[in-house]
Amino acid sequence: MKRAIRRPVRSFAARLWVASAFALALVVPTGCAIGRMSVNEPLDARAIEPFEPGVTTAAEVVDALGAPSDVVQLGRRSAYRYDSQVAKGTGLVLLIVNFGHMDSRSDRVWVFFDEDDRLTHVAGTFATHRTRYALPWSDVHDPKRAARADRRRPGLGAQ
Amino acid sequence: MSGFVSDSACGSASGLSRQRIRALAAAAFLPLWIAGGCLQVTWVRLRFEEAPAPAALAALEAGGADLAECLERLGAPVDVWALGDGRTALAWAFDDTWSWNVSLSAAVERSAPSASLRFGESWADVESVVVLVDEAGRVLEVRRGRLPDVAPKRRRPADPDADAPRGEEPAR
Repeated sequence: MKRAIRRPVRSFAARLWVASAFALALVVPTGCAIGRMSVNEPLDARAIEPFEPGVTTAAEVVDALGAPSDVVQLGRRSAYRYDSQVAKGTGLVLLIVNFGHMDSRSDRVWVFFDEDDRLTHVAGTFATHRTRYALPWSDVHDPKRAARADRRRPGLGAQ
Repeated sequence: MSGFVSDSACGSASGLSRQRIRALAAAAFLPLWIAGGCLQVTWVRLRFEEAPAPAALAALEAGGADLAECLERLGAPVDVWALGDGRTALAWAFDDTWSWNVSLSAAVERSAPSASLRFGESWADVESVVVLVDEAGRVLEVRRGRLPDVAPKRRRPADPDADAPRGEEPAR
């Protein structure tokens, strides 16, 4: 009868398996979540192209863009704000380590009027389409990716 | 982690049977599985808007810019408000906040007191650019920093004529 001799495990394969089991336990997701929140509809970048300082009136702007989100009184002048916001959240729950990320961007248009309600300045920032589901280490502001997203949005790149 | 293996199980080249490997993996996995309930490490990052290009800011800070150039370089601001004396403040804000949290909790027995420990830290990078312009649209000042520190106080909307530049007759 062969007698069993007990000795400590020393082989590389055994250590590899144990290390793998630890690593697996740390990376196996036990839960994940994604969420999206949006405020107002994205603005149409093409809508502000016809606006011409000194010519366009506040009434024409409201005809084109609708009711503003905010009206600011600047002395005898005024400014209207139009905006839309998109936030994308991601959560990854592992056994011990959890990750969460939220990326929030907005479309904003500000139109400035003189005391006769005639347009003096217009500015637009359109970024809701760049919002991404990501994790904390992701580079969500990568210029190349942003440029690719811009090309697909009408008024910024796509026609 | 250590274990024992009998010579009889050392038939494979690696010296371990499949059964033994499974047992070792389970032994490694189980404490982590249990620990997952009482030890949690959380890393959260919140990002709001994008920072303006440094070149755009440098051009504005060089002076001589007007409101049109400011809007062209920085885009639409996050907020605009009146300061009185015909001046206007425009703000661009962007945020990149990191936080991590470690929590450890233990309940030994039903009748024994439970203990929990939580530690966390966060780095808030709430930056902003505030530009002050006069009534003619000339940029008077460009401020950079945390929004509460650099934003001038807001004024309640009042009689529009009260905001006319000094020395000018209000329009009637």
